[in-house]
Amino acid sequence: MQLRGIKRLRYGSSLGLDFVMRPPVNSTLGYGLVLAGLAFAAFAAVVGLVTGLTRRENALPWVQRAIYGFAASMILSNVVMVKALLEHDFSVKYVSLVGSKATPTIFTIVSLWSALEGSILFWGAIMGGYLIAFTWTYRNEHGRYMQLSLGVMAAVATFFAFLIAGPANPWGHIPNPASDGPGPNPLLQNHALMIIHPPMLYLGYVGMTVPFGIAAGALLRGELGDAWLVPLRKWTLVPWLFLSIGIILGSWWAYAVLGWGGYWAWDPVENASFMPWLTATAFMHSTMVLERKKSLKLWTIALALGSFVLTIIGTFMTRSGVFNSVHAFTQSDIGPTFLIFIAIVLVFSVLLLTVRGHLLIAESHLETVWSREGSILVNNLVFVALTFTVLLGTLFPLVTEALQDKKISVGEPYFNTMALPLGLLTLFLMGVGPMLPWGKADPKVLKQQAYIPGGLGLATLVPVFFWRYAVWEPFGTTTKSLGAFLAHMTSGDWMALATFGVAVFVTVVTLREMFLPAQQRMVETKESLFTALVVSASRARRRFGGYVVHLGIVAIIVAIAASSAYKVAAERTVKVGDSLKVGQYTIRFDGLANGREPHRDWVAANLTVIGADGSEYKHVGADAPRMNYYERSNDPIGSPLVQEMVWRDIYVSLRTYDPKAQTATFNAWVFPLVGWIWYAIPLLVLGTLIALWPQRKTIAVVKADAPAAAAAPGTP
Amino acid sequence: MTLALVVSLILGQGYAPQRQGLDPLEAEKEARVMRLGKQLRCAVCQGVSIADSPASMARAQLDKVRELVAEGKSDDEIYAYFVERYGEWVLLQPTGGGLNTVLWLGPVALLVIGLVVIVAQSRRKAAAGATQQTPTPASGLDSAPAAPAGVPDASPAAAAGAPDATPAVAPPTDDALLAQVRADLEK
Repeated sequence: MQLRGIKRLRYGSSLGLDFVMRPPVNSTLGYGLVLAGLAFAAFAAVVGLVTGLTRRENALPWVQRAIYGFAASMILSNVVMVKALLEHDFSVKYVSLVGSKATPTIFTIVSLWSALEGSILFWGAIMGGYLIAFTWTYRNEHGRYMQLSLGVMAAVATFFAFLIAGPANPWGHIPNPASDGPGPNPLLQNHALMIIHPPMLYLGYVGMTVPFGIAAGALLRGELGDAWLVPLRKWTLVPWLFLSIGIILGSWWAYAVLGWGGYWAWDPVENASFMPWLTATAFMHSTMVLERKKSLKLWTIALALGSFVLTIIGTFMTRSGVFNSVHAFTQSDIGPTFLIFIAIVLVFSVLLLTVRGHLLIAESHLETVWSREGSILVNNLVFVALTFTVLLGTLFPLVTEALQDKKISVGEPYFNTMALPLGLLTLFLMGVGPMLPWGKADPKVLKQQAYIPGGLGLATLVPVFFWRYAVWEPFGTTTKSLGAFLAHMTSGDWMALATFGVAVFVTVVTLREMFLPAQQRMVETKESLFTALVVSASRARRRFGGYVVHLGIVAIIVAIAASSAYKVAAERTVKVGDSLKVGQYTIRFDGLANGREPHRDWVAANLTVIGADGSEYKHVGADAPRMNYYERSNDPIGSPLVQEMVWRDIYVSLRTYDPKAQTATFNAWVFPLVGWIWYAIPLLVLGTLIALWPQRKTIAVVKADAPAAAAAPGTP
Repeated sequence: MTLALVVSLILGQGYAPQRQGLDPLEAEKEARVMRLGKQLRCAVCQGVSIADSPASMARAQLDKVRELVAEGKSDDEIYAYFVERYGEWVLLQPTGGGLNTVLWLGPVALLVIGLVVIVAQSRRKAAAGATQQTPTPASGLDSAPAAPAGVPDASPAAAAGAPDATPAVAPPTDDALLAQVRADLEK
């Protein structure tokens, strides 16, 4: 049946009748929608900016309608693309690039974002979604605030619509389509995480357009209305959360798929997503100073603009192909267009800040570093230094190549040397900041507050140190003296030890700040712990939510320290029936197996993992470490075995195998606590949702109890 | 590809890149091999060190490191050996000197300058506070004229004329959202 179809197709196209057989409905419709989106966005941008600057506020409804039109066109264009992918309409250029009849349906849908053109199209849909959400939320807002902000956002949307319509057009028509395509990049269909990692990152990247629009609009008008501080923060928090999830899922994917036993390689593209995250995090903190002390206005706005610029630079780094990276599958020639856009955005932002910045007047000044605002300033400094380090390290090879025609590398060792101390400093500030009051700290009170958390932090070091000494592997029994152990402790060991101590300190401070108001309520009103906690948390959602997020970040930092400093590794070639030892585990090789799935064939090495207590876990076939062979790729793509446990992961990758000799070479690791990096995601989500939850409904209640809340000592 | 795989399975060749098969050295030397390997870039991979890369080329390079370590070469000699063959590119952590100084000192300089600015700011404030005797309220929210920047048509010229320290006095707006912000912040 299918064969006849192909024959007819060939016959038809040889006669030049393909138009008759399969009119290019999808590509025409899809491209038409893109053009409509471009027109709507350009209209909204021009009308919004011009009427906003000339203060004619009656134009707002037109801007709003155009934005709805842009969003609808972009979303529909994506729907058409998904339809084309599902229909395997290979006359559409993008489908012919990434489609294949053998690909499972879910990965066919996912292939919408598996290559450059599709991902930019998808980008357009997300942009539409954000713009609709923002415009609709503030539909009754006065035009004086909305027009300029919407105009700026629409201008960004115009650029992306232009990219989709021109340099990265996925809708090209292929007159004589092949009967099947190559399928999406194998790396992308190797793991289910790939289904949600890219959309999360895009939601993070694109979402930064909204705070950029709000901030640029405020600067264009020369005022930052107090009323816009809350929206500015909330609309940064949303993309911040998506960016966080996207980054963590990306590292999880790298860990679960790439098989080299790591989750973060300081790859240019990883760096690209990390930089806006850092500046957005800094923004989230400095905005507290802005709201409370009415200072740091220019700085906070600069961070909002900077985060957006960094997302655009990040997109450029991912998409332009100037960097060698695991993400190189998205290379293309949209680089020049992007560079021009980056230049425009940079010049626009810097101009705005210099020309309009003086209109944002600080109403208070820093009294002492030993205050909440002082600690936030230092926090901002550390975050900016970290961003600068990552940016410098990522771009430096390009700089030296341009200036000295010399190829150099800046890789993991550099970033670790520079970033880990800064990370430790950030962790420390997470403990110090919440202890400091606004205004000026009383050294006496501060000391008193620091005793318990500080003491507990120091006390942690002792058991961790001796546990480490007890399980110290590399030097065996010969050098198992304390002196030799100390002599062999690397800087990484010391750093990990310090991290655990500081982490305990921060956790205690954070929990105290979270529970103290509740405890106060319990004493005053005789409520149960749960009620008191819920009530006091809903009183100060931002604070409470922020602390929940802090706990998640502490978990991540501890997991990074433990899994990198305390990992155990082994590499061996073994015969069937033999085993290798890694840490307290024995891994037995049970023989090779092979199998076939619609889109790939695989060879697996069956294994049994034997714990110290004799417990056995069998890993057979699809569940064992494998080599996957895809139609599209000549080299096999491995997938490691990751046996996840709460306190540690066992990670085995199959390096080579030899069916004749019945041997296989394995790399095996035990990573303590590594899973806590991804287990922290729910904490980040929960904390962000608590902070974002609208306050309105409880306002009456809060007002009634206001004196009680003011009396609670934990409330700032 | 599929055919090739089936054939290779039947012939029993498997996927076995040419591994030299040097066994790990004794623990202490092997730790050094791994530390050196972490610093050297795999030639065929994407920014991964030869200690991390599963590529056969990287395994061969790591074996070369083992060989050199076993011969008793120093760290610098081993780096020099690789730089001579592959160029400075092979070092994942650029050496100091020349333009590379920027890479190492840039972030440190930023941090130091930033700290100096922050401390100077608070000093200046302390000095100003001592002479003027005008303490700023810890929370400007309860005191009345808190929001000049929020006024829609506060004349930019007037605002611009006023230097940082003196807050421009203007009545607060009756914006609904502003009230919301205040309510939010009161907690």
